[in-house]
Amino acid sequence: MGLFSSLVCSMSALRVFEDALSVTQNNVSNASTPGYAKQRLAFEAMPFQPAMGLPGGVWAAGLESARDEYAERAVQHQQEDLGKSEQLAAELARLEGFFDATGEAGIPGALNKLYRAFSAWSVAPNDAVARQVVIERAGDVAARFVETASNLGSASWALDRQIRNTVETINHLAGVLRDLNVQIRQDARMSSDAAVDAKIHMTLEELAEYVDFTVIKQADGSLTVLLGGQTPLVIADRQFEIQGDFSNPQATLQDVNGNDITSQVQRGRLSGMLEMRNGVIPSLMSDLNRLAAGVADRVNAILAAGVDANNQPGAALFTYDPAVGAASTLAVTSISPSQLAAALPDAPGGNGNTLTLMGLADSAEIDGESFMEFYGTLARRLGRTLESAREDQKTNEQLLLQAQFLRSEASAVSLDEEATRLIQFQRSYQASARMVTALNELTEETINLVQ
Amino acid sequence: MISSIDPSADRFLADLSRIQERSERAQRQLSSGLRISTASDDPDHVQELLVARMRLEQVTQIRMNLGRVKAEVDAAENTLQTATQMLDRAAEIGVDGANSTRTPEARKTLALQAQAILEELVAITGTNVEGRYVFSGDSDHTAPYTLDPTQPNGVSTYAGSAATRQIVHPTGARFGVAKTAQEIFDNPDPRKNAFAALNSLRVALENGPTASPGDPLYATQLSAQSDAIAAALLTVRGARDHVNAELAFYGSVQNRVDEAIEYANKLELREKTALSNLQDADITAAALELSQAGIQQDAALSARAMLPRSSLFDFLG
Repeated sequence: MGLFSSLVCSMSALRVFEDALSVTQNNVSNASTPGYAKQRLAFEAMPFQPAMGLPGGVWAAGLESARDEYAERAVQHQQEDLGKSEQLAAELARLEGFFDATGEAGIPGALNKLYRAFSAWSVAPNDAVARQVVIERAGDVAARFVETASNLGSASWALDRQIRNTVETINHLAGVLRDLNVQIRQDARMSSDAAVDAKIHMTLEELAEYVDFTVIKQADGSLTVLLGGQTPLVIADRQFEIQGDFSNPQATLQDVNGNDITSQVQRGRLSGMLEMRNGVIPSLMSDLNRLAAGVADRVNAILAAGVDANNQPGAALFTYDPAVGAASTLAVTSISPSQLAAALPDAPGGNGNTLTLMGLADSAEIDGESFMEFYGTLARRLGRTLESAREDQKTNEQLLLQAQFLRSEASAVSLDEEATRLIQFQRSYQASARMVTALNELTEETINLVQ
Repeated sequence: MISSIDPSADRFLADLSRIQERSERAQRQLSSGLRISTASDDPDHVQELLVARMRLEQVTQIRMNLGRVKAEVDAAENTLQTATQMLDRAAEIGVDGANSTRTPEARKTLALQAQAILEELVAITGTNVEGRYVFSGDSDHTAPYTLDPTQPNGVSTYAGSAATRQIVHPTGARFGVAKTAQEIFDNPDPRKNAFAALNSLRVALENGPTASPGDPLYATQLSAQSDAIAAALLTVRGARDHVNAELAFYGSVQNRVDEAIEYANKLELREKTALSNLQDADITAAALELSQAGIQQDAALSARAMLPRSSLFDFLG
């Protein structure tokens, strides 16, 4: 062991500190890069046994990532929950606008006007104008039902488009992961590359917004991504695309073999969209159809029980197609004002039947509730669901922030920390450079001794 | 989309968003004046609100209905008062005609007056309000009577129908508001039949002695006419009393309708108050909320702006 060995060790240390400074520079440069986890160069002391000729020194044992996979998974999980609650809140807010809650417009407004028309008609049962107003108000009721049903239908189609787009996005992100897997399998060093690692985790976090999944790291460094923990999206260098099927009343998600995997999606925006498309909207439509059919059937039944201006049994005022849905097909028949049955058979010309129609406003017609109460129950349910979705959204936002905060504590770049390391490595580099200078001088002196 | 904002900044933005939501909600309440404009504003009271609105509209319409009915009832009551006066006049004619000093020619003149009263009475049975004949029962688009001298009581058969129409009181109770011209003026009881009474008076006044004044039969016939006039006068008085009684019916209906209108007004006010309590925004609270949210937002932005931007790098030589 001599001066030359010490010189070599010092030169080697300079290279190690250079690398450490590069790592610090890379951390600072990527301080704001999404998905980037700070890197550290691991130092290892080399064996030092002067008697045995081991010169010691330091060598770079490799890069260490500060990434905490548990913290990453926590963020992804919260992202999935937030994605679903955000989607639900946004869609429910859109639907809420279709259901007036003040009673002045929409279906309740039209029903109120119809009840008033019945009431005014009761005072002048044989008045042609009063009869015409009843027909017009009935037309308004039908139009509001059709409009609301049409809006729900449009919302459903819009969700179909959104689901398609989301499935495309998921497939695209899975494609990115597959491409990264290919890189890793081609060059094993890629699995520890900070840039590749950042891209992988950024892509996974993006994917988590849309759908829930499980990630398994394989021995070769590639990732296996399973949708809902079951259906493969990516395995090694293969991607398995999912697709949406909208040919049936319920939208379904299918794997690459056409199997229905809808139930596997529990979180993420896709889950929220499917819940709206297959659950919330059909439920609202079903209740709307019940209400429309109830109003139509009841009014028609009362009219049929009476007699019109010509002492004939009353004609129907409403019509609808039950196969398609009462709400979307509700319409007024081609009834003429004189065919409206204001009177009861035992008192032709009277207003007995109009009084029964007036009583519709308060009578229990559907599930023990009047028509207005039933509509109110529907609106209340929608309002509560939206309120709950918004609360969930707020909670999930906080939980996501908390998870991101914990993750950043573990793996995010701290400029102050990097500056401290910069000073430390700078000093170490300077000290090693001094050693090289001193050892170089000593070596020259030794050589001069010999000459 | 993944943002490159650090978590503390994200938290700041989330908190700022919540302040802005509060502010927007308060603004919405102030500009609309409503606390509940969508179902999610207060889901637990939406149904109550809708039913309250419906009740208010019901009561408002019932009040309007009663106003319309009041016009008909008032018109009917006025008509019966006029009819009573006409029958009083007819009774005076009968008294005058029954006077034994009245000559047949004078009685013929009185007969013309009786005929005129009958025609007037038939005319007023056709009283209508907004195109509806108030004495035609449920067949309110047809005048109840026309003059028909060929008939025993001088008028056509009743062209209307029974009056079964009922009006709804704000409490939900129902009551009748009309009688038919047949019941009032053409009652099956001859002692209450105004048309028959007037016609019989007219006939009695017209049908004087056929014998010439010097004929011994003349005095007998004249006396018989006096008796017929007296008998007709009795029926006229009976008919007048009957019409008076029907006038009392309309008087009580007027009172009932007035009471119902007053009740409807009070109920409408009560329903409006209930609706307002449910739906209207507390303007003071909303204004305060808006003000507080504004102050909080300013404070949050100001505090964030004051955060140190430097790191150790800024102090390295």
